[in-house]
Amino acid sequence: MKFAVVKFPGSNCDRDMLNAAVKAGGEAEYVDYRETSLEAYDGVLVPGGFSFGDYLRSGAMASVAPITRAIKEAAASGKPVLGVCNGFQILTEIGLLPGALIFNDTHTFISRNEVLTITNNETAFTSGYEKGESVIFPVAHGEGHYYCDDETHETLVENNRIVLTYNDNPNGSRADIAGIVNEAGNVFGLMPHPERALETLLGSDDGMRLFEKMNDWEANHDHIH
Amino acid sequence: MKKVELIVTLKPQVLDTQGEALNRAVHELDHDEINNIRVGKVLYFDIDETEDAKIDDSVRQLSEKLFTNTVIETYSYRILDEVSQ
Repeated sequence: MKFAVVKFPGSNCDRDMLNAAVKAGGEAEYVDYRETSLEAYDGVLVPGGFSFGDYLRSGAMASVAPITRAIKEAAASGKPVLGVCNGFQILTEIGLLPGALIFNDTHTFISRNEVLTITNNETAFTSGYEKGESVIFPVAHGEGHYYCDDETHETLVENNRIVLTYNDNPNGSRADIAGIVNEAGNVFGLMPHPERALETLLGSDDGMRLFEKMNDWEANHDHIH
Repeated sequence: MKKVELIVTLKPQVLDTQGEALNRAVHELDHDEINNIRVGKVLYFDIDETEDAKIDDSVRQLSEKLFTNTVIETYSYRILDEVSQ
């Protein structure tokens, strides 16, 4: 699998994301936000950071960048698209995932390890985990409160699209939601950073299985090519 | 050429942590008569149009594409009397 790591001005987890994809056995390259095609790639990784300085709103300026249309095309063609932190904010801003990310309830920036529960292990991203398994991923965000209206929340619950929840909700997210998938199951957005959880020496290697499963995508989804 | 004032606010049901923090600070200054502070954004821009319908079209399109996130925010705007040079 060959992954694109989309770089916006202000992306700062791009190197971790690239490292995670490579460590899981894939290939990965940076792709500039001014590019207009992702056809050469089998999957798209939208890293964390502060795209365009988070001016206006987190992810707002990225949502009108030239690469956005290509990200939407990749998602529509069934390729895996993973957005972490600012990447998750961008995926909601461009409409690939529902809801929005607003300021943490405390209005403070939170940076620490969080215990999370894998609530859905039936996605192609999370099939390497047990349902109900606890994992540790770091969080580092000021605007990580997942917001959605009642109707959206019902749809997420009914279709089993809530993939990851916080055990001790740090930001006020609705129903402890830390990560969701789209209806087709190939777009995953989450606030915590699995790409920073690859080494037990650094606190957790729980993120590794997510990238390994993404790298197995072609074997499980032979319609990509 | 006209000047437009666009006001973006969080929808009433969305938690406004900035507003809440300010509310607490204002009460600590003994101004208990002030409540429900909501913090928004205001954008001013010039528009090279004179017809109200065209201005409305441009402002609405941009507000819904970029200036606001309609999942969490609402907007209102007015055309200012002042004419930009």
